[in-house]
Amino acid sequence: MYHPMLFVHWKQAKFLLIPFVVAAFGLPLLVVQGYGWGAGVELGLEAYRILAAYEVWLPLFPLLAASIGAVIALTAWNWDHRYGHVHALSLPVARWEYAAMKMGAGAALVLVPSAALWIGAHLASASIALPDGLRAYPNLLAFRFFLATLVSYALFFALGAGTIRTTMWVVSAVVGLVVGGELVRGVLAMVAPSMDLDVMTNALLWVMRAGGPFAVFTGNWALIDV
Amino acid sequence: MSKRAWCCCVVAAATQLGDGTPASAQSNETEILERIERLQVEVREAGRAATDAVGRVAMEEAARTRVPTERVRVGPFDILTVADQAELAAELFEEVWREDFAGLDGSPALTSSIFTFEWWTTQPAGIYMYPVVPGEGGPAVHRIEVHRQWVPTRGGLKLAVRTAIWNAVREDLLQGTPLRAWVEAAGIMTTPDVYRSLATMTSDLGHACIGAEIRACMVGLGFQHDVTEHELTDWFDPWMRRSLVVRASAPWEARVDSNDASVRACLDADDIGACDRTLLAIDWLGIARTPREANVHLLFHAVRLGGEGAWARALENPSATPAEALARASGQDVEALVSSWRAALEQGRPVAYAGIGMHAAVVVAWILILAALAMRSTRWRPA
Repeated sequence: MYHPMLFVHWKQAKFLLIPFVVAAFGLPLLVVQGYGWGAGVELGLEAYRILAAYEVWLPLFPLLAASIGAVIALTAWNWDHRYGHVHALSLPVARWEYAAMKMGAGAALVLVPSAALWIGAHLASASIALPDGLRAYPNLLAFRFFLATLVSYALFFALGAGTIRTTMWVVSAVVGLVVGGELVRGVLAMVAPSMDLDVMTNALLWVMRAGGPFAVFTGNWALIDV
Repeated sequence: MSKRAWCCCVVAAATQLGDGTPASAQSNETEILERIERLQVEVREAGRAATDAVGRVAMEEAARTRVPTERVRVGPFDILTVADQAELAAELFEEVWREDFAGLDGSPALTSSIFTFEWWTTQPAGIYMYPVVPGEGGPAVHRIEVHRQWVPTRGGLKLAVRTAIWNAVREDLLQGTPLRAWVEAAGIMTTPDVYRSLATMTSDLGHACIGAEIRACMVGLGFQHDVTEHELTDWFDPWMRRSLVVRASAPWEARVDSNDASVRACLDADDIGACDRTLLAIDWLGIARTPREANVHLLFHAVRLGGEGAWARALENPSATPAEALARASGQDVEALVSSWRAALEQGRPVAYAGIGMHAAVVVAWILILAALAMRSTRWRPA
């Protein structure tokens, strides 16, 4: 049953995925564009320029991973939502088993843009002559991209799996945390200035730091580094 | 009005009050002097009272707005911090001390310094120094106030601590001494950052240095200036060699005669061969070619190697060249020192994707949690 589910998901997602796959393939090539292509390149200066220019492109990698994860997750539940879950209900499987297979199918699809980025990163690093002291990390970049896409996918998949009411509850809780936290903080700042309860910052720190769900989005995304 | 001018006015005014006869003038003069004495005492008392009043007002103001503070001592560092950050401040100073400044216990600048530490979110609470620092002649105050960002910033905090310590310690190096000039205007960097700065140097000298060419390190750090033709062409691109000649021929350097045919060929006709000939003839590359932060890193590497009393030995002869000062501090000749420094850099090479395995494990754990949530959903039930 897994294969038909993967096929259906692929049919749903393929047209939406194409631009993202192209972007994942092209981004590493875009990053190294203009560096070390010709003969007689001044490598010392190149080292500095490559790393300096890379910083501009850096945020696009986690952003792309998050977007791809969201697209694959939302297309996973598209058919079910549209046709009132008739197909799912007609299958002789438990709900948890159905959701697990669907999630597995989506996770397999994450491999497509990750593979595109991996190929692009390898081509990009092969296309430039790196100065001594610098190395290319196409495998590790692609691996981090894959992990980040998986996290984003799993989060949106879990949200999409619930009812509208559940999703609204989750979104409202997040908004409530942000707005309520700021309100409480504002009141505390007036009543007890020494007590700084920054809910928003602490929540962000918690999800971003080591062990948090989004820790993989922070840190090094360099294709070329020392 | 100064005290002396004020006294003159009093004397002049008092003199005008006298009757002009010698005897009475004598008694008047004595009386005036006594009055001046009395007034001076009163002025001193009034000054003290005014200072106390200002201090009291400052204390009251501080007490109204200030957060509780705590004083912490970590090794040679005296730290005043917001009470709930005392543990964090102690941890950071301890780490930075161990990693970058080991061997600095005898620093005179540190013993007369106090560091304030605050990691603020909305606005700095402001650590009042009045009760701690007694005014003129007190310790030098180095403030560390770091804005807390929404992403983890322990690295940023340590950088701020490191920079503050370096700013304090720098005062031990006397202005105008060769060692001070060698590290002048330099910041402080960690070993991975120094490695990174050498790897991204515009000249290949840095790459050669981290590639275990000790001579490249020696030349780069400014310990040796003469280079062979082979080294010159290996380490410096043509435009760099030309810029070296431009610098050498500048009026403030005047290392070469700017009217010399070879120099003119280099500068006017971009004849790189002529540039090379000029540079080889004068055995000169100018200043140290590595980033100044590498020099600072080497200085503290020498102090670490030298162990107890190393910092004092580095400072004991202000007229010593950097090579002499470093050799004295470390107890090694400068070439051996540079060699061990390069090895330390290689050891501290930044790991580009450190912790990716841990990230993978965390991602798997979160995916399992989210999958469990997805499987428990009741979406397809008509109700």
